[in-house]
Amino acid sequence: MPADAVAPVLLGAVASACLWLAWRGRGHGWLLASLGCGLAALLLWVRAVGPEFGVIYALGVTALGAWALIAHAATPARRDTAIPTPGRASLPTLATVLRGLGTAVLVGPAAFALALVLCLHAVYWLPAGAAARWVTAVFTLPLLWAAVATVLLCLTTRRRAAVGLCLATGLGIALLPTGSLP
Amino acid sequence: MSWPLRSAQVKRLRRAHSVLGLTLAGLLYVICLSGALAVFHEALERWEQPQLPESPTHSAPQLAHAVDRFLAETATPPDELFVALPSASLPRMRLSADGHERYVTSSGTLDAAPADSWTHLLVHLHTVLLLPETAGLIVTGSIGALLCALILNGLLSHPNLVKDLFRWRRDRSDALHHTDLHNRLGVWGSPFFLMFGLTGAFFGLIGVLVAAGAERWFDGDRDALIASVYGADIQVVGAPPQIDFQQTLDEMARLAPDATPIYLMIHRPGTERQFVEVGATLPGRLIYSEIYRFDASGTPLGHQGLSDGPLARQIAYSVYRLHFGHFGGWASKLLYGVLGLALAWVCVSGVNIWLARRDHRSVVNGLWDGLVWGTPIALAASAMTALLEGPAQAVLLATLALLPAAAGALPGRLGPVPLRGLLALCLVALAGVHAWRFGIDQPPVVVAINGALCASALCLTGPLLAARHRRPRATTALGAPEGPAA
Repeated sequence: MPADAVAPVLLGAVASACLWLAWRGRGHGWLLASLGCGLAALLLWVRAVGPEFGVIYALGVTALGAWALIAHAATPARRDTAIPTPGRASLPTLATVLRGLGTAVLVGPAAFALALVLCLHAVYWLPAGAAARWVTAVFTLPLLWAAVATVLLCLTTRRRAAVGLCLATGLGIALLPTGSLP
Repeated sequence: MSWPLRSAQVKRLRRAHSVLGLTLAGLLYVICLSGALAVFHEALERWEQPQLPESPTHSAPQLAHAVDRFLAETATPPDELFVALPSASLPRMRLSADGHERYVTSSGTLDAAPADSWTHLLVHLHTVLLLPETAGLIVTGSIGALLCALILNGLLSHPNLVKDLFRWRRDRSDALHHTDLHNRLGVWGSPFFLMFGLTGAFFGLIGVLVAAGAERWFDGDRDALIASVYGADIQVVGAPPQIDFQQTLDEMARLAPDATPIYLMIHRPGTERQFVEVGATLPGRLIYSEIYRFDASGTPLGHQGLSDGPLARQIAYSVYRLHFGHFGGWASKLLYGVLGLALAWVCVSGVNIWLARRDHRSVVNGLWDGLVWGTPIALAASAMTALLEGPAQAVLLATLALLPAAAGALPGRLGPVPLRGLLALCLVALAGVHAWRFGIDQPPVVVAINGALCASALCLTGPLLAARHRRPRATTALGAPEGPAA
């Protein structure tokens, strides 16, 4: 990192501090100041190390600055004596274990299979070059899996979702074109 | 889903976050902690074998001499010979082909083989959890994808995100103490944590997508699919028997004066189809390298287009440096190290929230304490074993299995406080073993690592010594107070 990184580091720290002051209710002016300093820091970073490294450093310094402020402004730790609670053995029931395993299979391999099939469809149907199709699919796969997993975990009963997931995956596989890519 | 989310929806998202987080916490913690250390793998390699001669520069005669000697050592000529050039972070030249590796001195003679080292073990723990390569990559890639899910439902289940943006209430209940820590670290680090998850999933799951796609559209030919993304290899015929390294390096400097060569790949060395690829980093670019090709006489044959080809290709080739922070010297590595530790801390505090909200203690508390403190202890113990040329992997696995079990079985005796002390002891012992084995007159990077080990031990023991002046109390993993909500 070059020596001219000092200014963006300081500006990033000031941006975090201004945001903190705005959060403490000192007025919207601090929010604007924070945005201004943050933007200036980003621009200086980009000028110093280029856009690719600059964005990473700008985000990183903001996060580190915020954590430092949080640690600084934290209320003092409790010093009283906590009451140790007695030990208690509690084994899960067979039904709980089976339900947990079912959820794991649904959220894990089943959701992944659906995401994979959808991404393969994206590879075939996306109107772009080969590299763009595959790279889009590789980055979409975890995000799609994450979204499906979250939706599944939010459901109270998952039986219908499981059936739907299996049907959608099966249909997706059946409709996946063969031959070569267009 | 409507926006803003209703409280019932937030409750469900929190439950989803909790279920997924508790399921993955242990493995995710091990991956994050080992990843935070693996960021420094080049420095750790130097620390592990400090006796090897180092030089940040390379020359054509050195290359020619080393390649000739290396090929004379191999029984059958390899298909590809890899030459890692010395760099500022790892000033050692290394040759490898078909699993055979040697370091090279500045005169071009072959030196010791790289140790089957603890650093490799650490990197393997992070990338494949010490499982067989393919299965391990799929497991870690899947955990990366599910980390994205955790970030997604974690952010969505936090309706007071702005209100709590800087809040850390350490004086309230233990659950709140851990919740605030978990949320503040998680929210501010989320762009990086999402990037770690996405890029980690990229490494792990690309193989599955490639296998499925190749089977469907490339008659099972995975190389053809990969070539369609990264560009295909070239074919050369009638090459002279000797490679002109001087001409190659001169042409390279002329073609790309700003580029820094980091490796050479010699394809089919010694045959009439041989050619050289020079991998070089470009200033300000995250791509791992641009690949410049030369025939054996040093005539340029073009470049792969990783820096100026299709945008998707450039993105795909930037994933490594983006994930590991290997792009801006010590600054980026330190940043990534801190972020990796922060993510590990998010895992720990997440489970601590759940433990603090329970109305009882059970064997799970001990197991979790054992895993949280046992993982760095296991890493330190295995590093010590590796320095003494013992079975590092066996020690790592045994410690990782025994410490949580022991902490679970002896909750009163092997809680976070003694485990913390044990870790401090292991770190000091590790620095001591290193000094005993290699002496104290070492390069700055080695001194810095040993200093960091001792400083970490001091940081760990400081609160313990201070706690001796206070009344004893129950604690959770990381030594934070534990007990029923105040």
